[in-house]
Amino acid sequence: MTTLSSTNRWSLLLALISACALLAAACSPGTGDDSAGALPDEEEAGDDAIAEGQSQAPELAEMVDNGELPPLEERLPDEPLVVDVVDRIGVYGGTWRRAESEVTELEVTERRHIGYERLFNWTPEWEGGKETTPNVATDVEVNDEGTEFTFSLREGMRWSDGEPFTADDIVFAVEDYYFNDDLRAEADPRHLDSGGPPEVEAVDDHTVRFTFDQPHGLFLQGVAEWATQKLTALPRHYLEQFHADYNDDNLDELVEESGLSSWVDLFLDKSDAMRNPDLPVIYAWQVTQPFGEGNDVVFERNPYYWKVDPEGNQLPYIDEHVVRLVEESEVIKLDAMNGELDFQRSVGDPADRALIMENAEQGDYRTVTMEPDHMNTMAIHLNQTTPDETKREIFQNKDFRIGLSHAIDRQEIIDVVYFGQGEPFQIAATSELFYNEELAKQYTEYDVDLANEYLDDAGYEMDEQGRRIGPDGEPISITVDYANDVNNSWTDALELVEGYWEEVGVDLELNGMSRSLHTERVRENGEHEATVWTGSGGLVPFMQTHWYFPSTAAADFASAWGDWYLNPDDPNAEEPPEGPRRQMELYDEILRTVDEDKQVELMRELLEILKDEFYSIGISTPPEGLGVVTNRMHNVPDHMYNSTSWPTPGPTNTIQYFIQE
Amino acid sequence: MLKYIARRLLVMIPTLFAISLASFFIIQLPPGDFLTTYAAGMGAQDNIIAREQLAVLEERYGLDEPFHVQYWRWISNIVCCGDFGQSFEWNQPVSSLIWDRLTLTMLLAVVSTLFTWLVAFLIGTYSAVRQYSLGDYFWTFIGFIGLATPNFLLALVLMYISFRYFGQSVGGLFSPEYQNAPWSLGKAWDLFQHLWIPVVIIATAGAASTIRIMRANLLDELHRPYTTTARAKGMQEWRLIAKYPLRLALNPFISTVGWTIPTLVSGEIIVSVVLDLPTTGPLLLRALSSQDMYLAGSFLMMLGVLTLIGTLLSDILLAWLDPRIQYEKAGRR
Repeated sequence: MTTLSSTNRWSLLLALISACALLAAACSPGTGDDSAGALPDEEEAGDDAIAEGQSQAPELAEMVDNGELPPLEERLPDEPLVVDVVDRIGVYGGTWRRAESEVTELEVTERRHIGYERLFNWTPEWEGGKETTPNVATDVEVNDEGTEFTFSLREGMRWSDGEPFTADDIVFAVEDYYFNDDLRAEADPRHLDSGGPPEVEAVDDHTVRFTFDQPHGLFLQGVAEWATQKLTALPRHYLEQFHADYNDDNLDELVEESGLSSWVDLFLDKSDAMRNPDLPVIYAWQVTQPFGEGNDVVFERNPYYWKVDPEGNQLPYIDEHVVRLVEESEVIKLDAMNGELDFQRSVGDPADRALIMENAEQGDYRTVTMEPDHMNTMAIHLNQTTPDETKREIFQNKDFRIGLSHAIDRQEIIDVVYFGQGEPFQIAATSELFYNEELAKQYTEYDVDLANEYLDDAGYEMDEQGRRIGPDGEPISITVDYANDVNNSWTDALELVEGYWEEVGVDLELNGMSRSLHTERVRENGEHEATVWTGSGGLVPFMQTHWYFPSTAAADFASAWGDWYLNPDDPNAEEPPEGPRRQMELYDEILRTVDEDKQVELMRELLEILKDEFYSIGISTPPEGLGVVTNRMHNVPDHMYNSTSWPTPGPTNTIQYFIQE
Repeated sequence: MLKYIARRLLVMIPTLFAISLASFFIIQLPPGDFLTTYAAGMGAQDNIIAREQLAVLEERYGLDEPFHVQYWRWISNIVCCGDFGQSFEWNQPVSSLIWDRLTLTMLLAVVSTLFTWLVAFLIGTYSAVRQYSLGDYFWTFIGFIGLATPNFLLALVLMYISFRYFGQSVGGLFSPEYQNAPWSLGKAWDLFQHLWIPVVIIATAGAASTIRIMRANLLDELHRPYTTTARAKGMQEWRLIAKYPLRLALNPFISTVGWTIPTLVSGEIIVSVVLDLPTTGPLLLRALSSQDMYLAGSFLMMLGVLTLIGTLLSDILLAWLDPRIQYEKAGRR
């Protein structure tokens, strides 16, 4: 072998390697033409664009001057909705930067951050979930029975393509989306159903009437809830072409072209405001770089947005909203502490609290508190309809549950697991409207003697080894099936509980599992003896009821009773005893009631029964979460709720946030 | 040679079939499916999905069908139309998700392999030629530290330093201003500036073993009679080493090419997650944990293909570089 040929081989080898790299680069469709061109343009956020005395963003004014856009008066509705600002009138411009580590969290940017636009919205104050405020609708008339709701829509309101928003769009959403046989599963019409689908009628262009078979007392709240997003988000004039009921001509071709497998997939894709930049929206921002193209999702100002600030300036103030998908939540923490996220609603967990606050000055940000809408860090549910008859008998014994509750040293759990944040708490509403001190604090006192007394009264004596013996002559042992990947604290807290209960003679076996297995075992089949979960519905007991009474199969303390309430003929269903049955009647009555004060009264009565029933054993109130806001971002309230019912931060009116260096 | 390559390519087909079957099977092993994971995720936010709704979705995604039906639908679409199916979680065709990431992974693989080679070649040669010298001990020590320190720890240390002292995050492969920009010289340079951190981290682990192999191989050669003869003939020392022993000692460099991709994807997941790199590792991890089976399956499939191609390439290169290696088994005529 000569030197020459060996050099040749080496250079050939090198060439081969680089060719591989080039080939790989060329194979990628996304790299060459990522031409969204939507760079965060921070220079533009300067304060030369003071909104005062102006009525629209400078870029839009320019477009009007160039004849690319109709003048503002023609774009705004006859009576634009005037939105109060949190602190002061803002300036136009800037980019709101955010990051998410979960695909599911990124996807809900639509309903949380850019487009919380319902017929009626939750109020920013959200007092107990009692009231909603006019939004897309300007008014509603309800008949006395609560079966007929007539909404007046905002006249002259337009989709982002300039087409008018009409009652027909709502009818389309209800009939052809929420209650369409093929789309229904995806649509989730739970709040629109009261004894069956409603009859929806477009009385005229700006009036739409819902007629229910049965009274629907919580309809206005339901309209403001998480699952009802699409009611005002489906432009009929654009989407009919993707719907099997309306397009007989070329739907198959459209499906074929898209590479999707059915018209349902195509319709869902086209009606997704995160994925389809062509979809007309009524949101303040419209997607320009859709989800899935590159790492960021970018939204830009909708020139037809229909709300103004108190001085008549068209909202939103902020030009652009950019969300980055990162690989891990730790990255979010780091970015937030570097002041690179303008408003991130939830950063880190309780353990990071001190760190995040300490870095505020260096990172040029401030923190805002997030009040959780759930009322418990961990509620222990003993399944009173568990398949094992002996266990069932033990769990249904109220003295047994009270004894176990007194045996828990809640303060120690709070100190050790929750960094001293929170107070001992049972399953009880935290919202002021429904707060009931006695319900919240009963049996939370740590007292081993008292616990033993209750357990003795329950009839389960201790043997000489200090184990309590059940009715079958065996020592009582409870297996708790819990999801160990939902948060880091349950395993720690349960290990402490295991120790406390051992002291009073009850054995606890921890059976941690992935949350998907937990869902199957506990939520779908109700096979568990015991489980733990957070307590949701602290602030809106109306909408999240399953911890207060067995209203769905997700009521882990008596799954089969929940099944019964939903459908008495369900094979899993079992008829509950009197207490829970009375609660079910009360809730049914709430649904039949239109008067808000009467609803509150009935709910209080329902909670009073919960006090007697004492289904589940709570531990403590959850620690407040921390959100991070850079100092250049303004009008973000210092305190808000962290919730899905109230899709944080939507109801705080993200449209009036603004950026000024 | 051509016959050899052709035979190797033929053998790949059943191997790929086995890989696809195994990966699809393993993805299905954990209890539940994408929908239970999805429902659980929604449940964690207290958004309870009704059972009937789950049943309908199950039907839509075809999750209620038996294993072989699901497998057949997946594999037949890949073979016939190059359609890898739909990712449930992302609601997008799988192919649109993986190519970008595969490209960056390949790039990272090539650059860090080259870097590993460079480091290992220099240190390995030095420590063999100057065996038991202070320099040998020093560099070997450094190499072992690289091997012994978990990669993610190194990543965290680097991230901490840059956060604490430079006030910037090192995550990602692009600066924010280039994140969504079309490819340009500026973007390439920006990529290069970010790339060195993961490259150094990944290379530290790989370099140590290659250094040792290089050193041992070279030491073997250095004591061969032909070296002594050449030396006795008055050949210059460095020329001598470079001409024969060094070339023979290079085999391990080539033979590891095939493993680089799978190691990078499986072994560097944590590094990529920590450093927020848009490579295949984190997406694969995410797909597996959410049981997004077509995405995960297609990924494993692609990696299988890359591994097979890599192995084939390294075999060919090896045979080509080292005439001692034969294509046919010695006994067969």
